[in-house]
Amino acid sequence: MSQSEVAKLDTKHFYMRRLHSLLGLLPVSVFVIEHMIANSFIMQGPEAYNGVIALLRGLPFVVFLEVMIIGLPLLFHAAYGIHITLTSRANVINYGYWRNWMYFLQRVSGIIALIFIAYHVWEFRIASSAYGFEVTYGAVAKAMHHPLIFWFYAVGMAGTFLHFANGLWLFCITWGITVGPKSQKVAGWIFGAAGLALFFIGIQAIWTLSR
Amino acid sequence: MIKDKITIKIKRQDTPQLKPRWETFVLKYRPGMNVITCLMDIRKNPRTVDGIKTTPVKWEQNCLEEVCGSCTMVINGKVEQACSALVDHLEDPITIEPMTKFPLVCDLVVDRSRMFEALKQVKAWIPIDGTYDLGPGPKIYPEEQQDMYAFSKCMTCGCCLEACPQINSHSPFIGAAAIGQVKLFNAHPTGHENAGERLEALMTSGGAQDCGNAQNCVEVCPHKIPLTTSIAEINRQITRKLFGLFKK
Amino acid sequence: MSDVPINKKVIIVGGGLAGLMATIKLAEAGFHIDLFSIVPVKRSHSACAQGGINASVNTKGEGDSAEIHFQETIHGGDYLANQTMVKGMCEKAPGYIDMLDRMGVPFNRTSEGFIDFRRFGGTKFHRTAFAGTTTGQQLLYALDEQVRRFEVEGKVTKYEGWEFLSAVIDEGNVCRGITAMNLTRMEVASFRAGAVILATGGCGMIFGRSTNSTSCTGSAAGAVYQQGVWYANGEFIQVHPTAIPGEDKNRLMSESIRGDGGRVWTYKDGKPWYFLEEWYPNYGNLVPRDIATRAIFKVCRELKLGVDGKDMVYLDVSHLDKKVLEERLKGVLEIYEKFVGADPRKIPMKVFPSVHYTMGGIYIDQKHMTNVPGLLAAGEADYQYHGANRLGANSLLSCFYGGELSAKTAGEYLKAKEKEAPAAAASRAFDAEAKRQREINEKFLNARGKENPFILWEELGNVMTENVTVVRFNDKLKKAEEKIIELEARFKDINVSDMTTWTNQPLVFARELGNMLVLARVITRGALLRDESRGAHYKPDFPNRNDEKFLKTTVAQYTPDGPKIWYEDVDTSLIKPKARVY
Repeated sequence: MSQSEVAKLDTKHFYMRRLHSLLGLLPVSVFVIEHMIANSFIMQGPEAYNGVIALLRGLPFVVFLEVMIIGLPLLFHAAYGIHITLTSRANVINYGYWRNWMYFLQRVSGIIALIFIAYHVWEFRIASSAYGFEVTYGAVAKAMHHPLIFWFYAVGMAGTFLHFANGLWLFCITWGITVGPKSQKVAGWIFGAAGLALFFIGIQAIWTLSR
Repeated sequence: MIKDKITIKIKRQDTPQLKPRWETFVLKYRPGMNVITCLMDIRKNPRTVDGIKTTPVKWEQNCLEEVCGSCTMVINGKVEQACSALVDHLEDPITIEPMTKFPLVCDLVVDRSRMFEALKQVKAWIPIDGTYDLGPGPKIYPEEQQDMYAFSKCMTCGCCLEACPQINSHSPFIGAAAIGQVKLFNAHPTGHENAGERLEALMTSGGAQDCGNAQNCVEVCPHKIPLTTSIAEINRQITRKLFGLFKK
Repeated sequence: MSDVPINKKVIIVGGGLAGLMATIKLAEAGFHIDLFSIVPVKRSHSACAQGGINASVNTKGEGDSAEIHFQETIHGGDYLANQTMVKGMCEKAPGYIDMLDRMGVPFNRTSEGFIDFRRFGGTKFHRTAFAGTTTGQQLLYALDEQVRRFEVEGKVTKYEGWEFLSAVIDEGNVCRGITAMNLTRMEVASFRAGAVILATGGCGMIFGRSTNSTSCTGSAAGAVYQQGVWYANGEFIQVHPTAIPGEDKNRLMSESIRGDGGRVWTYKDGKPWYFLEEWYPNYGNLVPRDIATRAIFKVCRELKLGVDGKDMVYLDVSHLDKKVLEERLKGVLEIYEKFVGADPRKIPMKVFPSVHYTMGGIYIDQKHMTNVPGLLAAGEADYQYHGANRLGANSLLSCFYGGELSAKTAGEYLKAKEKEAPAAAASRAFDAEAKRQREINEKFLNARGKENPFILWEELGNVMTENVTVVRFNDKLKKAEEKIIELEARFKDINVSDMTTWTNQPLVFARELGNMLVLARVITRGALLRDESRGAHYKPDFPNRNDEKFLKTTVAQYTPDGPKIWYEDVDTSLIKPKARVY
C-alpha cells in the first residue's frame, strides 16, 4: 500500500473532529440557547413557565425529536470530547497564557457540563417520565431549595456556559471563520458576552426558584 | 544587588535507557552571559557544586544568533533558544532541561527528526521544473512577500511543539511548524500547484484538526511567526475544499 | 543505496548553500548523492548570512553590469582572485536570482512586485538582492526544500549528524570516498563514491570567537590537508568591521545597516566624529570591509578614541527614517536588542570588528578539483573568488557558482571514468582508513592527560585573534607560531574527560581541535611569509602591495614539521592590477 493510500484511509479522525465541532454548534448550542430562553420564563412566574413547558412537551414526536436532535448529537459530542480530552496533556503551570488556560478549562468544563447535564436530564426528563411525576415550576423550585442542588446547578451552569462560549470561539477557528488574531479577539468578546448572558439567565432562574 | 555567582541546575541523562539525574554547577557571573556561555564554562571545568568531577554537558548548538534553531532547551520551565536566553533575564537558580516532546538522545540533545519528516509529509517545497535558466519567478507584491517571509523564517527549532499540550505520546498531532509551512507554500503562486495535496496531508491523522487552540505556539515562537493564524487559515482552506470551493 | 553504481554516486560533505547547490545539480543530472552534515542541513552556517546576494541586474538604471561587478570584485579582492572564474561567477549571478525566485525565496520587492536591490560595501550600485534580514537563511531554506524533494524521490540520502573524518585516498592518489563518524553512536564507517565534494565552510572557530557558527572549525579542510591536499591563501581572513562582541561568539551587525544609511562614529573632542566619512568621502561608511575594519582599529588602538576608551565604536541608525528601520533593518536591530538588551533605534549600537570569513581554503583548479583527483571543494571551503578580501554579498553568490561548477566537474570526471574498472586497491584503502580513524578515537578515549580541549581551544583563539587578524607584525606572528607549536605539544597530553561511546561531544571536539591547530599554522605561516599589505592582510612594516613578489597564490602542503609553502601565479588575464584606492 502506498503512502497516499494510507493517507486516504486515515481521514476518519478529521471528519470525526469536524463533526464534533459542528454538532457542538448545531444542534447542541442552539438547543442550549433555546432552553435558556424557555427558562427565562421562570422570571415571569409559575404560570408562564408551566405554559412554556406544556408547549414544548406538546410538540409532535417530541421524544423522537429529543433523541435524534438533542440526545444523540450530545452523546457523540460528549464521547468524542472525552477522547479529545484524553489526548491532551495540559501544561498551564509552565505556560500560563490566557489561551492555554482556556484550552485547559475547555476540557475541565466539558467534563463538568457532562456530569451536570447527565444529572439534569436524568432528574428532570428521564426519571420524571419513567416514574411519572410532572416537571413543573413547583417541582423544580422544590429541588432548588436544597443548597447542595443549588450550588451544583450554579457550578454546572458555569462549566456549561464556559464550554459553550469558548466552544463557539473554537468553532470559528476550526472552520476557518476567524483567521487572524484580531477577528479571534472580537469573537472572544462576542461569545464571552453571550456565555455570560446565558449564565446570568440561568443563575437568575435558579435564584428565583430557590426563594 | 550585584550577583557574582550563578547557580545552574542541569537535568542530565547519559543515554536514552539510563535514568535522568540533576547536576548543579556554580559559575562566576559576568555581564552579558547567556545560557550557552554557562554551558561553555562548565565544559571547560566539568565539576559540580560539590566538587565532583563529571563529564562535560552535551547540547546542540550552531549559529548562536537564533537563526539555526539548534539550541532549543527548556530553561526555567519554558522552552526557548539557549543562545538568546540572557542570564540577567533568568531567575536564579537556572534550571536547564532537554525538550520533553522528542526522543532524548543525551543530556540536552534530543532527536527532532519528526519535524523534518513532517516537512516531507506536507510537501514543503515549491515544485519547480528544474534549476536551469527558465527566467524569473512569478511577480509577488510587497505585502505578499512580507506575509511569506514571516513564515519562511521558521527554523524548525521545536519550541512550538514543546509548548503544545496536544503534542504528547497519546496524540499524533503534527504540530504548528509544519502547518505554518503549508500556509507558506500554498500562498505561493507556484507552490499552489500542490496546495490540495498539502491540505490532504493535513486532513490525515495528526493533521490540523488535532490542534486544540491553546495557542502556546505563537507565544513561544522565537520569531513570533503567526502560527495560530496559519492554523486557522489552513482550517479555512480545508473547509473550502470540503465544499468544493478550493481551487486546486 | 548500495545498488547505485559507484560511477553514479557522489558524496557531498557539508549541507550549506554550496553543498546543497551541488547536490541539486548532481541529482538533476541523474547522480545519487550521499549528503553528509554535522547538523541537520537546515541548521548550516549559511543561515547566518544577513545582508544579501549580489547580481548586476541594473534595475535602477545606474548602468550596472556583470562586467562592473566583476571588476569591483577583482579590485575589492586586491587582484588576488583568479579572474576567469570570477568573471564566470558574475555573469551567472542574475540567473541564480531567477532560480531562487522560482524556488520561492521571499526576496524583498519593489511596489510593482519586482525584486528589490540594495547597496552594499565596495560598490556604488544597487546590486544586492535580499530577503528581509536573513537572506542566507532564506536561500538555505529554499535549497533545503528542493533537496528534501529529491530525498523523497530517493535521489539523495542524507547523513545528518555525521562528522567527516577523512578522505579515502588510494595508492594511486585518487579519492575513492570518505570516512565519517556518527555523532550519536560514535561509530566510524567508510563510504564509497565516484567523487567527493567538500563544502564544509570556513574556519572561524580557529580564532575562538568569530561571527561563525560553532560548526565552522575548518576541521574537514584540516583533515584532508594532512592527507596531502593543498591549502591556499590561508592568511586571508576577513575581519568584519561591525559585530557585537560576546563571550560565546561575536554577533554580526550586517553591512546592510550601513548600506541603508547607518553611520559609524566615535567621540573626538566631545563631538561625534564620522571618521569613515571624513577619510573616505567617496564611499563613506560603505568602504570595503578590510578598510573599514582597519579604520576602526586605528581609531580604537592607535588614536585611543574608542567609546569609553574601550575597543568599541558606534554604529548609528537612530537618525534613520522609521519606515527604513521597520521594513529593511528590523531583523538585525532585533538581534542587537535581544542579545545586548538596548534599543538601537534610540541608542547607537556599540560594535567592534570580528573574524568573519575565510577567503583562503582548499586549493582547487579552475574547475574546483583539488590536487587529489576525485576530491573537489566548493563554497567557503575553497579559496577561489574573493582574493585578498571579499566584497559583501559575494559569499552567497560564490556558493551557488562553486556548487554548480563543482557538480559539473564531478559529473564530467565520473563520465570519463565510466569505462575504468574499479580499482582493487580501493577496497584495501577503505579498510585501512576506517581502521586508522577508529584507532585515533581509541587513542583519545584512552588518553589520561591533563589538558582540557576546550581550554586549549580558548588559548588558540586568543593567540590567533591577538596576532593574526587585522594588524600583523612579523615578530608577533613568529611568537604566535611558537605558541601554536606549544599548543600542539600540549594537545598530545589531552584528556577529553569523557570515556563514553554515546554522543561524546568532547571527543569530537578534540578531533576537530587537532585539525584546527594544523590549519592555524598554515594561516600563521602564510601571514608571516607574505611581506606586503594586500586586502585583509595588513602589515604596518610593509604597508604597500608588492605585486612583483606577492601577486601570487600562497599554496601550503602538509609536512609533519609544519607547512611547506610555495607561490603560484594568479590569473590576471582580464584586468591589469591597479592601485586600490577608495
